[in-house]
Amino acid sequence: MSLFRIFINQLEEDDEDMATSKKMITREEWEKKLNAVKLRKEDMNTLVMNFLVTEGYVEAAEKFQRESGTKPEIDLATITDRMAVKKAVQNGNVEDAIEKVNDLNPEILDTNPELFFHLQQQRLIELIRQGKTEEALEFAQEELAPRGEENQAFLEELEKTVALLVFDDASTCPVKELLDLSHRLKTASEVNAAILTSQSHEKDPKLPSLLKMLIWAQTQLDEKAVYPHINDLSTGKLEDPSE
Amino acid sequence: MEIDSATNGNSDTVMTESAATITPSPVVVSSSRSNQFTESLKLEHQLLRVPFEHYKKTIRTNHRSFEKEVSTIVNGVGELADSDWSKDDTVSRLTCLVTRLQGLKRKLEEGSNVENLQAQRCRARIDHLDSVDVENITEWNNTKLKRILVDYMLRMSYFETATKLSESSNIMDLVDIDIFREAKKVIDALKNREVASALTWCADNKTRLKKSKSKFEFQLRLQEFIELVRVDTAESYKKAIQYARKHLASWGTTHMKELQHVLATLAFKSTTECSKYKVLFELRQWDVLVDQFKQEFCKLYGMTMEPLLNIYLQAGLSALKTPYGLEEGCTKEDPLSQENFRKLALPLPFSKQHHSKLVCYISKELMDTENPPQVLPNGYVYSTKALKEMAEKNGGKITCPRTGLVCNYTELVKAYIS
Repeated sequence: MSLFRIFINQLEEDDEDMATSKKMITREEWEKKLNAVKLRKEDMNTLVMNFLVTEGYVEAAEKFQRESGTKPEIDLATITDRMAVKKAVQNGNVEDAIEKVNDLNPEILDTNPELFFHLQQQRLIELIRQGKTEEALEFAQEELAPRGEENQAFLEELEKTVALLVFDDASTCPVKELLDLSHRLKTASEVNAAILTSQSHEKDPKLPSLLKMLIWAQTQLDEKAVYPHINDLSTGKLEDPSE
Repeated sequence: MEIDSATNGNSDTVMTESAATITPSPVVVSSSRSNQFTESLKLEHQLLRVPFEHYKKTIRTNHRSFEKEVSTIVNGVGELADSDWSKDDTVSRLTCLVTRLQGLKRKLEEGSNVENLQAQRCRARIDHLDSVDVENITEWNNTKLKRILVDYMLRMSYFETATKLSESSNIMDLVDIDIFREAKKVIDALKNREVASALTWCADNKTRLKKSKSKFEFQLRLQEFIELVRVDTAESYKKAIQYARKHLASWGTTHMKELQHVLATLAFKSTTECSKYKVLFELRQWDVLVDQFKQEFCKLYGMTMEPLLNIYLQAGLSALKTPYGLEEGCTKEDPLSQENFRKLALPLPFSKQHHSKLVCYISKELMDTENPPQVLPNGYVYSTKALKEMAEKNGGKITCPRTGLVCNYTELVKAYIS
C-alpha cells in the first residue's frame, strides 16, 4: 500500500509538470515498481486466517491452520458458538439466540443494552409475524416498554414496531422494512460484532478494509497521474493506462 | 351605544395636548363617508359567507340524497322489467316503489323549503349591506353592533339571550343561530366524551374537510382508540387493535409519526408514568378536541376564529391606545381612562401615529395653522379662536377652564405644530 504513497509524493514534487498535464506511467514501469515491493508469506496467511475467523468459516480455518501452520487469534471452538447465535437470529429464533449468547458470555448483553433491546425488538417482530397478537402485546408491555422509557432512541424503535400490530397487509405498512429478512440479518450482524468485540477481536475482517484502501488510493492517484488500474478486484488484473 | 364605522387606513389619532380627547371625525363630504362604507363592508365577509356556505351545503346534501333515492327506484323498476314475477308480486313491488316516490317527493318539498329559507337569508343580508347610506348610518351601525353582540353570545353558547336580542331587534335573518346550535350539539357531546356526533359531522362535511387537509377526524379516531386502551383489559386491547386496523391504518401514509406515538400506548398502558404517553390519557385531551372542532367549524363556514366583538374591540383599543391614555391625568372622555378598558388594551400595541391631531378642549375644534394653539402661563393649550372669543366677552381676560387661572390675552404664547 505504501507504494501509492511513494508515487503520490514523487508526483507532488514535480509541480511544473503537474501544472501542464498528468504524469504518464507505463505498465512496464508500474510492474517493475510493484515487483520491488516484498510481502511476507506469514502476513498474507494471517490476513486469510483473520478473514476466515471473523466471517465464521470454522472448518476452513481448521484446515488452513493445519496446512499453513497459521495460528488463529481466538479459540476456534468459540466460532461455532458464535455462528450458531448468528444463525438462530437469521432464522427468527431470537429466544434461542439470547440463551446461546448468555451461555457464551453473560456479560455481552449486560454491558450492551442497545443490543439486548434490538434482540427483544426482533423477538417482538417475530411474534407479530406469526400473528401471535396477544403474546406480542404482553411481551411489548412487560419487556420493551420499561426499556423504552429509559432511552429516547429505544422509544422510537418501539413505536415503529408496535405499529406493525395494526397493519393487516404488510405491503401497505409504512414500517414494513421491519418485517423484511434484511432486518433479521442486520440484528444478526450486530450480535456477531458484539461477540467478536467481547473476544477482543475486530468486528470486521482486515481484507475488505485493505481492498477499500486500494480503491481509495487509486482515486487519489487518478487526480495526479495516468497509470495501470486494477478495475476488477476479484482478478486483481492490471488494466493498461488510457488517456 | 353606537359603533362608528371603522376608518381603515387612517392612522391619525385625535387627541388634545394635555388630555387625549377622542372625538369622531366630523362628516365633511359624502365621498369620504362612502369610502368609509366601502372599508367597513370589507369587514362583512362573514355576514355573507356563512349563510352562503350553509346554503351550498344544504343543496349538496339534498342533491346527494335525491340521486341515491332515484338510483334505488330506477334499479327497482329495472328489476321488475327483467324478471317474471307473478301479477300480485309485481303490483306489490310497484306499490312499494310508488310509496318511495311519494316519500321522495315529500323530502324534495322539505328540502326545497329549507333551500328557499336559506336563499332568503342570503338575500336579506345582501339587502342589508346594500341599504347602508349617510341618512341611516346611525341605525345601521346599531344593527351592526347587535349583530356583533349576538355573534359573541352564540360563540359563548348564550343561545337564549342571543335569540331574545335577535327577535326583539328583528335581525333573525342577519344572525346564525341555527348554525351555532348545530355546533353546540357536537361541542356538548365532546364535553361528555362522546365522539359519535363529531364523527357524523365529519362524514357530512367529508369532501370539504379533505380539501382543507383537516386532521380532525383522525384526532377523533385517535381519541376513541385511547379510550379503548384506557380500559386496560385483554379484551379492550383486542378491541383497540381491531379498531385501529379498521379506522386508523389508512391514515398511516399521511400521519405515521402521530399514529405511531398513539399506538405505542398499547405497550405503555393507561397507568404509565412516561410523560410522552401519560399526556394522551389526560382528560384535557377532550378540551383540545373541542377547540379543534371550533376551529374546523369556523374554517368551514368562513367565520373568524375569534368573536367579532373581540376583533372590533382590539382594533378600536389599539387605535386609541397612546402612552398618555395610560397616565393618571388622562381625561374622562378617553375610554382608556377606565380600568376595564385598560385591562383589555394591555396586550395590544400602541397606536401608530404619523401626526397628532390637537383638539381644543373648549371648542372641540381642530387646532391647525388656520386656528393655531396658544399656551397659557400654566402650560395648558387651547385654540386661538376659542381664546379670542373668551377674551372679547371678558374684556381681554382669559380664564383657564381646567385650573381657573385668570390671565390677560397678551400673556399667551403661540405654539407651533411640527
